[in-house]
Amino acid sequence: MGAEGNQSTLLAELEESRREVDRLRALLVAKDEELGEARGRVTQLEASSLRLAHLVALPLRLVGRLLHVARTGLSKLRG
Amino acid sequence: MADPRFSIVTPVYETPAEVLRAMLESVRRQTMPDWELCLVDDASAEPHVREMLEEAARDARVKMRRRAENGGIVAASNDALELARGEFVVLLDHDDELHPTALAAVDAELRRNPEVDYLYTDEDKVDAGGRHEGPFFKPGWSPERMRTQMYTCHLSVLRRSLVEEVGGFDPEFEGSQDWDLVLRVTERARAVAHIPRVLYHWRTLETSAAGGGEAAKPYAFEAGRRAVQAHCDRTGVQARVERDPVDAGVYHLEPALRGKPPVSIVIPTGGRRREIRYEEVPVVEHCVRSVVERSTYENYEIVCVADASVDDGLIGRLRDIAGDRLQVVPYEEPFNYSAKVNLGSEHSSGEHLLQLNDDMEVIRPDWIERLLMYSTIPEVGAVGARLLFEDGRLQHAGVIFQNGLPGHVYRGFPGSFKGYSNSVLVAQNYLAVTAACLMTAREHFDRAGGFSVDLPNNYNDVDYCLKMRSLGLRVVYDPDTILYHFESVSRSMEVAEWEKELLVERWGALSDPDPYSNPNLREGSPGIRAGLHWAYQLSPLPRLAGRLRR
Repeated sequence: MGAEGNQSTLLAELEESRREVDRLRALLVAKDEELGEARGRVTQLEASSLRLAHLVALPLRLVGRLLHVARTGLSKLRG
Repeated sequence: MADPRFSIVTPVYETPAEVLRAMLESVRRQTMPDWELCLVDDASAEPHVREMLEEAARDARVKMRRRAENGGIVAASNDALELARGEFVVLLDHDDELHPTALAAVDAELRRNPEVDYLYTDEDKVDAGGRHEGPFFKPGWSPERMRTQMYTCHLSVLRRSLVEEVGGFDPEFEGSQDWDLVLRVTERARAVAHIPRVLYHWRTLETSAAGGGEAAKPYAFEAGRRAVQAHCDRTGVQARVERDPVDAGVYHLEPALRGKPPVSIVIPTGGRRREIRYEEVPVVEHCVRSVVERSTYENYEIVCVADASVDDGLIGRLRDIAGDRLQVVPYEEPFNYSAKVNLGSEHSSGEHLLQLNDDMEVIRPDWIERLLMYSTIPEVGAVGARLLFEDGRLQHAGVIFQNGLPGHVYRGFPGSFKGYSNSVLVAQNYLAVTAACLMTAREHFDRAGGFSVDLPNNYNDVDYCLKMRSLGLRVVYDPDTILYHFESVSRSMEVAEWEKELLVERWGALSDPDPYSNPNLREGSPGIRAGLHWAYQLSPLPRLAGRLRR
């Protein structure tokens, strides 16, 4: 009787700890989804920042290209 | 006098003087002169409307009719169509504006491709003060997108003979009469063209759909739903059309299958384990369980193509889960994803094949029905899904090509991201979708010779989809077929140089430029080029260039 009692107590404890693991897992999954939304926003913002960075660099690239064309033209003229 | 090339069809009703003047002026300023303007006043009470139209009609190219009583936009548009004698009909709303080079650009495109029966261009919005905003850079002709969003909108140019053949505007779809007309014309069109230039300026007034949204014309959105439903019924698409509860311009097709064709789900697996939601599991077991427990479709089998590393215990558990539906095909050669898919397909009997990675989880129970809804369309070669990472971020919402190389659009963006002009939420044609979840009719699979075994690791799905394209079939992304894909977010996307070279060599002519993107978009969003293009279009430069060319 004593052994049976111990076993049922252990089983109840086991069940309790399973429930707790499930509860904590569900919490973690919910947190991951929140984090996923935030991480996704970061990815989205990084993508648009990259486009803006290209835009900022554009005038410099244009000036560089103009200088290159001018230099090439001059060197051709010089023969 | 010879019939003109273009008949601009414009029903007019109580148009504010300023915007009516701007509309008329935008027509007069066309750099291409071979047009007529067909104006029908739908019995406006405002005296300035009659005065301004009569003034406009002094130009011999302007035809004007006044209706005795107000009949609504469809009646007035049909009256305007009666006046039209041009080879092509150009739809222009009474409060909008054409870009000065609109007709010249359209004419050039139509001369380049004489089979074109319907043509559309990019557009932007212009407010009452003349400020431009919200350019819409559209994809190439995408029949699947056209069923879930009226994306071609303005500027629309239709061959007049075809407009007459289909009977003009239908009063049953008042408010969405243009969507209905374009659907009916494109069902018969030999070719459809898109000019990726902003050639139409859509006025945002409180009373227009562009400015007021659903509140301005609530009936129009329901008419749109009915127009698409009528189109599905005419063309045999087995779907019921529903409106999105949040986004007024977004529609959804819900499967209304008339039969239950057998489907074979082919899952190549090496039996690997990984942590899913903080529990380590064999991924294929998790996948098969979700398929069996969540799918509402009944007529399917599962064919697992299993490496030698898959142990008997796992196979036994798969049998316990799937029962008679399961067939396990051993694969003992060196790894080759394509060969595994082909082997699984050989051992299957379904009319439609559903390639599924082993690290997937079904979310929507009607996912098989949804994929079948598209796969049963004879012109569709492959259908893909919206896939999410474990944390809900977007893993796949279609594949776009940049310089001939493919990439998942918006990969890693939040799951709630709607995409540029709602492109994540609406169905769309792409050159390719991922084979992590891909349905294809067996008939097409056999015609294409299955997956290419010379691409064992990467790009085999892209290659397969491009084979479909080369067979004249479309590839579809369905936003409402949603699954989890437990691919590691940090997984290396490295592809060998030889794989890239092979893909570009084999398919570069088809994929560069990507017809389903837009030159002004980069990775699915407007890039620098978009801003420069738009600024150029709004400047006097295109008009000057047009004059110089003449």
